[in-house]
Amino acid sequence: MKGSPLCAALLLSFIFALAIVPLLSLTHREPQSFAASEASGNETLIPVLSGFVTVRSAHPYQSIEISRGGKVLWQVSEPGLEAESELELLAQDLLQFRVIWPDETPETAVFVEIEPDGKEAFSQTYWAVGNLGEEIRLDLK
Amino acid sequence: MKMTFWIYLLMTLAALGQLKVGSLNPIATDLLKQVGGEHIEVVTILKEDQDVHTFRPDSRDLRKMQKCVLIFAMGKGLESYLDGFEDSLEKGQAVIEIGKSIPSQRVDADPIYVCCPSHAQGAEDPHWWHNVKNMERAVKIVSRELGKLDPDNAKAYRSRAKLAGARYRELHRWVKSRVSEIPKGQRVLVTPHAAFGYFCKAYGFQAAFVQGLSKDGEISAQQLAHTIRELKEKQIKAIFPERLANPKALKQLSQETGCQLGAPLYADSIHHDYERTIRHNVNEIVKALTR
Repeated sequence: MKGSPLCAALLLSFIFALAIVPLLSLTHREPQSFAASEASGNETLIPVLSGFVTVRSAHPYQSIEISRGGKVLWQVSEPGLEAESELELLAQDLLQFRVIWPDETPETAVFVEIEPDGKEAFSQTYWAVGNLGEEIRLDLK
Repeated sequence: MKMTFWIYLLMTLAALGQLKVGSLNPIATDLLKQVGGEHIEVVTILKEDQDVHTFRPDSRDLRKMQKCVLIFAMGKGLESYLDGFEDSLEKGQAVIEIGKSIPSQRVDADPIYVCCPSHAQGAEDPHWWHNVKNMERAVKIVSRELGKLDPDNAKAYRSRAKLAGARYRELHRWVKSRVSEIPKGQRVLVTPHAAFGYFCKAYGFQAAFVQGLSKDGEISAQQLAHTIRELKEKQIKAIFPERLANPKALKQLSQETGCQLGAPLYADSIHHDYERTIRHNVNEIVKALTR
């Protein structure tokens, strides 16, 4: 029984069946994932500077998000008035800044400050109702 | 007696759990205490009455720093001995220059003070803490570095840094509000050496310093005549001596020009803590320039 060709064939098929799962996931990715992978390829080129980001809102926000090319760099989902974090920045960076406030929040102001190490800070106050989506362009060369 | 023993024992146990960090400047010490609180023990080698520009650590200072894994310096060339100091450190010890992460300014004022290269026109100005906004960034830098070294307490460092940052933000607003009491045309800050460039840029002053002063506070007759003429022409209301500097020449200038001699300012030293230093300087500047 031990050396039976049937058993060997069954064992071989089982091993192939196990291997096919990771192979399929490698070869059948969604087009979206390819885009993300391309974007992350660009990002890894030069993460030049460390820095700090601070957000202060006049009314309590629901969430904050800073992303680059679709990749989320910093996310706050706890409601609050102020949040800060460290952030890796590129020499020439384009960040998407999103803030969402709860329904029935009146028009409000939000202050964002990005402080790259050794460089002048970028700071801006935006006004919005309900949600805000802004692009922040940084030239740190 | 028993009680004293238990208190002593508790304090000893608390100290054993503390992280030992070094500081090369009293302002850095203040920053570290604010961010580190009870989690760290700060070892400082520069005393409040020592001149930061001429100080050199001796062998006793180096020994004091031996147990510190991280040593904080103000940076931007303020500690001119830093290269040699770093060479003397043991493996595993590192120096963090807080000023490295703060945007730089160049020395920019009319006359050139020739005491040392760090105060020559165009040189990198190391006195970044005179802009209170820079201290708000400094607490984040200190919190980041302490958190890397001691991840267990990183959250505590972040929350203490946040509180300290809020205090500095309030102090920055207070400075702006006090300075607004001085008429714009009178916002000229005349000091013996170029230490207030960051302060002047942040709060709308024109910086000027007395040309030709020697390290001992002496001035040549020719320079004295020139400075008297300049001060009269520009209708300067007050000139400010500095703590740890000889006010002799400034007193003479004050007598000759009728300019008021303000109270000494803390340029490189500290008055108890950072906040009191800034409040002292600003109160004295406002008092003298609004008289």
